[in-house]
Amino acid sequence: MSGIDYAVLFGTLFAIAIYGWWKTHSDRDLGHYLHGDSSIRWGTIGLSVMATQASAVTFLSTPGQAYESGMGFVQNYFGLPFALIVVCVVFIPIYHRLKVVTAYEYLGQRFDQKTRLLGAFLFLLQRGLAAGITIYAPAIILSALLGWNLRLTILLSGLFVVIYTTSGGTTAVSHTQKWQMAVILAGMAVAFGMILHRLPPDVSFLQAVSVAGKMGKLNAVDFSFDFQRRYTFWSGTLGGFFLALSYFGTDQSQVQRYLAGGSLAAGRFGLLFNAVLKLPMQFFILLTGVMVFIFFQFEKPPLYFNQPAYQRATQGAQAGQLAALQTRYDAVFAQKQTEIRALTSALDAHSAPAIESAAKAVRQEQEKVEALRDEVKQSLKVANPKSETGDADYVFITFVLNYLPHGIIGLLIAVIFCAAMSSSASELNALGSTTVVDFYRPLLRPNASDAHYLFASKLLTAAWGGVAISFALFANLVENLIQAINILGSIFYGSILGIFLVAFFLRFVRGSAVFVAALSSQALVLILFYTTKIGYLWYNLLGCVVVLSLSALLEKTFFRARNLA
Amino acid sequence: MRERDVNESPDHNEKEDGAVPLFGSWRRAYLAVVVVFVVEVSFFYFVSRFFS
Repeated sequence: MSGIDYAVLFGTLFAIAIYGWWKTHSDRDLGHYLHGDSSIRWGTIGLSVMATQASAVTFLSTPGQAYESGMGFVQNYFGLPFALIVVCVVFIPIYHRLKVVTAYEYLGQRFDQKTRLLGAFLFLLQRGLAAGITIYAPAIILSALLGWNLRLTILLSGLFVVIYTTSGGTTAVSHTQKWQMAVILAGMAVAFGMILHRLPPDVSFLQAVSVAGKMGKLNAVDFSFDFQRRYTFWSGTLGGFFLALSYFGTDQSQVQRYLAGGSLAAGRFGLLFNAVLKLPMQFFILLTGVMVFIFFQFEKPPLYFNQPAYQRATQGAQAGQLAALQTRYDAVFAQKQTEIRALTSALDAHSAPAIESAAKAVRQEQEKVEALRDEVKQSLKVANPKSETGDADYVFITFVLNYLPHGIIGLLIAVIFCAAMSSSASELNALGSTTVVDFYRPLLRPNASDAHYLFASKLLTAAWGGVAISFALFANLVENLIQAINILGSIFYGSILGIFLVAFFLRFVRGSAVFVAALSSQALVLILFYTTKIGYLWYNLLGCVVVLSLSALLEKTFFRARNLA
Repeated sequence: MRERDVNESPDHNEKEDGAVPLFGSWRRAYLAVVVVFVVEVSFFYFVSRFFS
């Protein structure tokens, strides 16, 4: 990175952080701090919801995922529009009418205090750890590739967020996310344009897309009923629906965003904005990854994208094997380029048999490349058994750092930091608010002044920021944390969603029954997690179904008998 | 006056459906989202099939 990149990066980050602080520093209103300012409009809410969901990993991993596996990942979001409609119809009107600050306050009003505390506690546990990872994940990749000090990178991105989130609360988070999302969308559009610009002059966009299709990278929709496949229309629509419903309906980091405007219509429009635009946005990010893949058909990419890890391995016992693999790769890539050129010529000539024959040859060469990459990963695993050998997260950033002009590099790094900061700001804001509203106020200081609660909210938001930064600093000692946090989320989401669905739809069930059912469901999920190998996404559905059925059963039997007695 | 259930939506009494800009009612807004979803998935499917 050059001076101009650093100027663009720090200029963008400082400008947004200072804007967030300036916009809210004189506001002493507790309601604005926790609940947001009524002047926040639906567009800001929509961008804020989008920015909260889109973390740095979205922009580092998603293009890499498309590079490796094509567009199929977009199906993961097919359930999202339907879940958002349910949130608009069922969840938001109730939250608004009861004027709750946190989703768990509703549980207190619908059931009792212990159920409210259980929901809030599960949220704090899961989101508190996730906030650390949100800061840690981009820092580990950027520090590895740019040679930055990891701890300094974590502190830099973490402290920016803590300052403006602590200072301005919900209002600051919503206003800064609007500009962060603008930077993210502008940066991704510029990156997409630059990729097309860097393609060979004789390869048009349509030809590039055709080559991607012939190489199996445009497989966006799969209607098959194969349960072994990770992404299909059905798993994305059904599984994605439950995942999105629990995330948008019960996770305070999202609930706080769409309750921020103060009006029911603003919250609903903000969510419908996401229901309409989330799929095209994900499609566009994946298409960017596919275009990077096409670019690397004409320009030789590294055999393994995590170059620092690869370079370290070439200094060790695996050096000979890696050198032999590199030689084989050079030969396979040269042959593949010949076949790619034959394919583009056949596409120019519109000759169907020639296209099919050239496409088959290209796919065969690509399979050889993938086999070589697998061998490299195995070799790296031998060199360091504890290392993560997946390199998809490094694909897009490698392209950015090596093939984009200075200035644009700074903008794209700013995109990644903006995404990390927007997600962690929502998380810290939600963690601070939940701690004050659901624990501190009812349990420790029930009758204090607004000024006292405002001070406590700021202090607790900063404290959660400290916890997240400390966790991120500590996380470099532990392997595979990103997956661990995904698993942790799935373990708790099912039970939380179950409690809320019982609250909304099983009106005869009361607090004690749902409390016992939620604890039992959580215990069952934990036992299954430690004793079986069920895919962790299934815990979302399982936990939810157990809470729904067990709470109804308990209310009709055990608790009915107790109430009658 | 009838007592409200904690889960009762404000739409029941406040007739917010009459004041939804652009769509006229929330029901139409939700229907529009479903229509857009069908159009988006059809486009993705078309791209998958046409270029494969």
